[in-house]
Amino acid sequence: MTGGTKASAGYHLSDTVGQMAPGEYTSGAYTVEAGFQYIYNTFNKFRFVINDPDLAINFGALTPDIGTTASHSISISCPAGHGYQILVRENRPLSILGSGQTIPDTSCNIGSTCTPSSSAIWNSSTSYGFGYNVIGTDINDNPTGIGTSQYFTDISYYRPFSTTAQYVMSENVPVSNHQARVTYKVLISSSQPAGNYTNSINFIAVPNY
Amino acid sequence: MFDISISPSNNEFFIKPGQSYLLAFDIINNSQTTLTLNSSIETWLPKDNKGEITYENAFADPSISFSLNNSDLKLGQTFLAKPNEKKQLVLKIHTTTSTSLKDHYYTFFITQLSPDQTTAKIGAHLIFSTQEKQTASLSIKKFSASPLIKDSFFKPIIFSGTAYNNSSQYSKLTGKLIISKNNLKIQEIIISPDVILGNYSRSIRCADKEANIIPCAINPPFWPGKYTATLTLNSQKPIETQISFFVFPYTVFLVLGIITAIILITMRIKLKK
Repeated sequence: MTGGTKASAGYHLSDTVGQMAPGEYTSGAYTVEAGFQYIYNTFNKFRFVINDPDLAINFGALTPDIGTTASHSISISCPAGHGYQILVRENRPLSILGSGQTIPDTSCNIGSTCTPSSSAIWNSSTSYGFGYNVIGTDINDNPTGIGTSQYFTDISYYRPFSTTAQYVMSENVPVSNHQARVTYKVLISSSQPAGNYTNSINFIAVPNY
Repeated sequence: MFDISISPSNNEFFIKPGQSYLLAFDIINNSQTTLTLNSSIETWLPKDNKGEITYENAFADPSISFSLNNSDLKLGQTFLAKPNEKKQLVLKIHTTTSTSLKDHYYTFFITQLSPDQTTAKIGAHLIFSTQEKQTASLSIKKFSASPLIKDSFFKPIIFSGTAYNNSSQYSKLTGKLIISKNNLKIQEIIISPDVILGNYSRSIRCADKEANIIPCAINPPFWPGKYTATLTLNSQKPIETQISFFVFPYTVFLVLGIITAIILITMRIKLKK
């Protein structure tokens, strides 16, 4: 059995020679991909995971002047190719639908202002708002900053969401199951009107070309 | 839960204006729940020379349209993917005779529709040209070796460079990096076959024979002397850029110098006594 890729100026060919019954066969949850061509399918596969069974972050009842956080993990695989980019955006600020009441997107600590594309430290109990960070982790959830350190220095750095998609994680090498923890934080003042504040966060994962 | 994979994730091809092109994508729901998905197309622009992209200020060519060739599904129509189910979506790209002769950049997206707060989408890129096929015309910029002081021990010597595509059509980089000493080749590294967009630049990366990305570097120890690194890219005519550098055991000589100085100072102090 032999096979592989061949190229000339105008053509690229992958072949399998000598394989008994090459092709793709499926039975129940099992798939057999017989032949060298399928190696390249595997290499060119791009996978994104949000590890949150409900795809819902619920902060519960908020206490004024005390920050509340919630998190879930994401992971990305692009075994071959050129790396990946993960972007995130919100559909609107956290708000009570139809009331006009919002929890504003955070500006982080006074004096260390953050923007949708630039993170800063946010640990003051009097800087109110809604923000997030994304920190690369190892498989045991220990922070490594891989893929995210250019956007968030460490777990004390946050950014506000924006309705325009912003880069939160990227690498320009092939990766397999690289993970990150996304932490959402909300901090309200005692004058924040009571109610159910909601919004939708949208993740976008694309390969580098 | 969002757990979707898409393949092939990067696609490059040619279409003659007025013709169509079919592209099959495998979409796999790797999760244990049934997901509600739909499909869409967005156009993008290159963002940097490392293959990153941006969707801001990117405008689609109105003469190019997209549809799904699946009999039971339209582009933008909601569909269900059962646990571990693989679906094949066949994207059809339509051009007209008035489609401008240039390269076009799009992403085919699969979006999970979730009634909850978090949604996600995953994309695969399409890079296609409606121009007549051109021969690659490349140039090399900023080819260098670091660090500045190259010692025989301790640190690898890393090579970097940027390729520039002088034509208006995308191309794939092919070439090699050869490191030699006294006109004898000591290492040859393959250039990663990365896509370089028309009139755009791309950082050069290296690959092993299995196409895995490896550092464009040689590792110590090095014999002292003059080395030459030659970067060759296959183009209309193969283009070649060369740099030379000198490697010397600076650290060893520095340590020996310090020891000699200490001995001399000690001897002088002893003689004075």
